Amino acid sequence: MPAPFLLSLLFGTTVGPLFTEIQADPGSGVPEWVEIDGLGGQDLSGWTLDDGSTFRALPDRTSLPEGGVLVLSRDCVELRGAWSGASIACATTAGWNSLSSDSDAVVLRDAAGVVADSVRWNHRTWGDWPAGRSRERISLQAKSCDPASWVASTLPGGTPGWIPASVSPGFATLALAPERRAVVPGEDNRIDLSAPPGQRVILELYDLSRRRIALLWNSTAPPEGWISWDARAGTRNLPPGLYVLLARCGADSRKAWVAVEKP
Amino acid sequence: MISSVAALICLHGAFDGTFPAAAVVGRGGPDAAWAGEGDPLEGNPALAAQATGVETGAGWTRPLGLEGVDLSGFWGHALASSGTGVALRWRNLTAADIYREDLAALDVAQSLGPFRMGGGWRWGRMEIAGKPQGSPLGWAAGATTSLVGSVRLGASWEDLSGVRPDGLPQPWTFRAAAAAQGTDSTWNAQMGGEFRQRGSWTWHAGQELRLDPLRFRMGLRVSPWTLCAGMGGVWKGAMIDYALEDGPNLGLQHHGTVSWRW
Repeated sequence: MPAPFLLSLLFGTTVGPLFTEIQADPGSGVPEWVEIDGLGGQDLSGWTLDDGSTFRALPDRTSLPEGGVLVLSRDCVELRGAWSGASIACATTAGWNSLSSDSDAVVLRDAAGVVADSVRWNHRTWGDWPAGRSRERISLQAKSCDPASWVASTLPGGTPGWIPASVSPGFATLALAPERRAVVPGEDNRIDLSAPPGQRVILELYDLSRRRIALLWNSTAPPEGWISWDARAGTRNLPPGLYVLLARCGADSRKAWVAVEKP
Repeated sequence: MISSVAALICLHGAFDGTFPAAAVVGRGGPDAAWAGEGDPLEGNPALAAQATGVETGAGWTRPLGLEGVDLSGFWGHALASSGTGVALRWRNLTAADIYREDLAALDVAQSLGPFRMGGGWRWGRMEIAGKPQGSPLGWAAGATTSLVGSVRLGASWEDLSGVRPDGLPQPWTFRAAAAAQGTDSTWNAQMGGEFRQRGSWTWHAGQELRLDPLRFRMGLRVSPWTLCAGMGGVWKGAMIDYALEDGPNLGLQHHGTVSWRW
């Protein structure tokens, strides 16, 4: 995933994975879980997950999958079962400290005990949290313990294993990085597009008057997590202007604007 | 690389959509036959000779609820006792600090018996990531008449295809509409169509009910289907209006406007 990679390039340091989603109120029959996002392939052997007091080790030889997103849960089999057997990248953590939706914390530490990320929430500053909704981080650049950095998941139960569009460009179901918001016809313009495993995702282009201009994608999500778009509609260059990309996956949809320049 | 797409409709990415005036949006869109309250008179330059008194206003919306995108504008129009009217509009669309477009309009109209006729000047500019994309230049003309009782008819033509070294020609637009107003002025109904170059007709219909000091509005646009609703309040010439529009796929859009009429 690009963000930790870019950060490590910028600052010359290894940036550990960060919490991107926390489900402390999954409902009956579904285990609690947290989701972390980092550089694909990173070895997490010896890392621990704790609530500030009780430490639980991640399984030996755990590493971040290719996409960089990993779910940690008490029972991965049960979790996948609750999501219709979806192939969620998940690691079962030995023991699990039951999380409180009102007030609790999760801390991720590396093998040396250094905190990679920590999130604490309480009812006084975070307020009432909608029942059954996970906490989704809006951006990997957002401060971990700032309530403004987290939103209630749009989907009941949350989105374990994939990053919805409510989070930062570059990691979303549908996103264009800020430097890619302005696209030029004829050039390779990358749109990050991901969806739950095996589900069909539709990407369309609209103008601001709600007119549908083009169908850009209608299939399961691209395995690489992005598509390349030449900012054309068929063989014609799009006139310069502001357009809307709409990604739909089941009942869920995400929008993003894109500015098309003169060729 | 993705470039194969579904059938295309007319394409005009910039300077598209209506002025952010809640009263107009609540009635389904700009009308070429009738000038209401809180109306920047976008539908027809001739309406500058129909709107009574002096009015100014400003409106804002976040197009389709898109984060970082803002559409705002202000207007003013005045009608002299000689039957000559003048209208001025300006609107600005921005998306973060990457996209910006401005569109300015100046209309002058005159009443001649049952007719009102007007013409106007249009100027726009657009830049993306700090790079100017062009400045369309154009003109507009239109007429309305109230030959049949309280029924008004109107038509207008707007052309932004002025060619200059840095031009950004836009499709022309033709509008035609009919509007009826209750004899006690408590209601108004309108229906109209709009045709844009290389495009197809789009239609709208709307209704406004005036129960002082409140205004209630409903509207419908076709192709694409969009349902509009709004309400407003008037107090000593000051007006506050709100409108909501909803359509399939792209969701809700809210509009807010404040205006003042002398």
